[in-house]
Amino acid sequence: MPRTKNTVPVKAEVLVWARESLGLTQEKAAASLKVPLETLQAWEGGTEGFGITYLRRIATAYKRPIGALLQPVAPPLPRVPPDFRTVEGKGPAFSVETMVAIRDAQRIQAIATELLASDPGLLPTPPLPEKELTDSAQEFGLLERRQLGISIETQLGWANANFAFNAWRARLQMLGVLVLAKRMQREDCRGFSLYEPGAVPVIVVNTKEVDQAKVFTLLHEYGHLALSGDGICLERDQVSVEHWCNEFSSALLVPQDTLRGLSPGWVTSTDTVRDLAWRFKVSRHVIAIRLKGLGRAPSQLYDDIKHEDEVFDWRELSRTTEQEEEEEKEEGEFVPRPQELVRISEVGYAYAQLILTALDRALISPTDACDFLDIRPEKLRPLAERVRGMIGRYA
Amino acid sequence: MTVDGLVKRYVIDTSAIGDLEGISPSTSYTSDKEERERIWGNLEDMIKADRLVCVSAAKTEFERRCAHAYKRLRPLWSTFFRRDSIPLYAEVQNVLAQSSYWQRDAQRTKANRDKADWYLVALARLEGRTVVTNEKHRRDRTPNNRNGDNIPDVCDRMGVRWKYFADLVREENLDCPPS
Repeated sequence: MPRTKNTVPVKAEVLVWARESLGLTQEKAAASLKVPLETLQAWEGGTEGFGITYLRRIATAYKRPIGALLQPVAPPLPRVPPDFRTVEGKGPAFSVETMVAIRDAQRIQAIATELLASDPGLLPTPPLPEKELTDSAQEFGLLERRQLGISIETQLGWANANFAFNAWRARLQMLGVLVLAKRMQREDCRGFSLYEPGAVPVIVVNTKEVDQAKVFTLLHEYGHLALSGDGICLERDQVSVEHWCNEFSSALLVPQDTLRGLSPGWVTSTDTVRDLAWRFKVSRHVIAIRLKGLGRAPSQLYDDIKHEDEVFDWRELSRTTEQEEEEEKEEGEFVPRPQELVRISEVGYAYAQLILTALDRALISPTDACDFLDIRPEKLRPLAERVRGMIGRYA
Repeated sequence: MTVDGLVKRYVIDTSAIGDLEGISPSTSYTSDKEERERIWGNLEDMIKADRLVCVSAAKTEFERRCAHAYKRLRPLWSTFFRRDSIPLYAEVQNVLAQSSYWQRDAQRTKANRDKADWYLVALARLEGRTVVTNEKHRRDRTPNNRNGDNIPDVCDRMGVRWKYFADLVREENLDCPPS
């Protein structure tokens, strides 16, 4: 990029990297920056430079610190989680919100992996099960249920889907899987997982989903992690992978024998499905598919549920925390949750515990801990207390 | 106060101010409130004389980590927090080129959260200042905590002078009553 005394020293290739790593086209980026497309192309082509005002504007639009734009060379583009990829192998085009969530998750994975390299005792890291598509997802579901140590009686006795989500989440974290909850566009995905040999496995669920859906996504993504042992790649038939993970999640959450015992013979009523869904703390869709698989319901039942979704928003009955907060804001009754609680629900207690233990063992400074947890120093102690409480409650 | 006849000038890191403020009891510089107040008085004199500055990228860190110091310094903000400039950005680029660890940091850091570390070393290099920090040099860290670069490590690599806060207090007699 030609330098004058009024242009910032940003390398053209770094500018391209920053845009592409957010999944933005030149057109979208130019619109977001409020500059003509030709101007952005000149910046990216290195034929024109820009000043501090545009540097700040670009950093904001590309969701990067200014320092990232000042890198001496462009790094490789961040890896997109495999289960995001399309069947055709085309590059995905996600919203900025989702791309930032992926980046945050990768950051947390990198921090945790580096700390564990210094002290493997910071987090239990038993090896993940290694499965292949030829293995039975049903059998694996039942086996993993035993490994997770949650009996069907316990599951049916949980008060609600929110408790269920937290309990399943806690169990997976005990296996050394970091479970994050991030805001993402619902149209983009319900969740994703990050797997890399030697790195801490990570599952991310979308906070915009209701708890029943989050429970299913959680176990579905755990299925991906189990399959990733031999590496998911673009050549593999992605539809089969998704189907296998759905089978696994369904088998684990709704064991056939239990469903057979609880369902009253042939089921055609969506009310019955709703009751069963409430008992298992999963969505009605999962129950309808399981009943059909058992030969206890017609295909029509699933369609009926979808039809009900179209005429009645069932999400009203099971709202997300975000929806509840929005309503409280409108009614003037909103009391913000404490920062430490918000952070734990985002990063999960396992990651928080890992950082706190690293701090206790003087592997990191209090400043690092605050940075890694994105929390103010005065919130570290309350956060530690919350984490202890959470372990006692769910794990 | 001087080196080679020149007045010594510094750029200070939030870790040093945080330890003066006693944010973390384990690394607190002093628990003596009067001593802390004397040091603050001298630091404020140094800021007024442009001998002690910080970088604007540290402003958010100050607010988040050393809220009391942030408010205390409010009347001196314009002198204390150096504004970003194109030459400073050019130096930041040079600093990042010296540390692949900091480059990875730059890629991972959230939006609007520029790490002050990159700018502190850059400003010190640009203006011939000494960095004051309580981040530990690699040789002072425990063996299992020697991954990554702290401010002193990069300073050494770039020929930038640096010192721990305790050394600044001793060399500049900061725990004596302000003149």
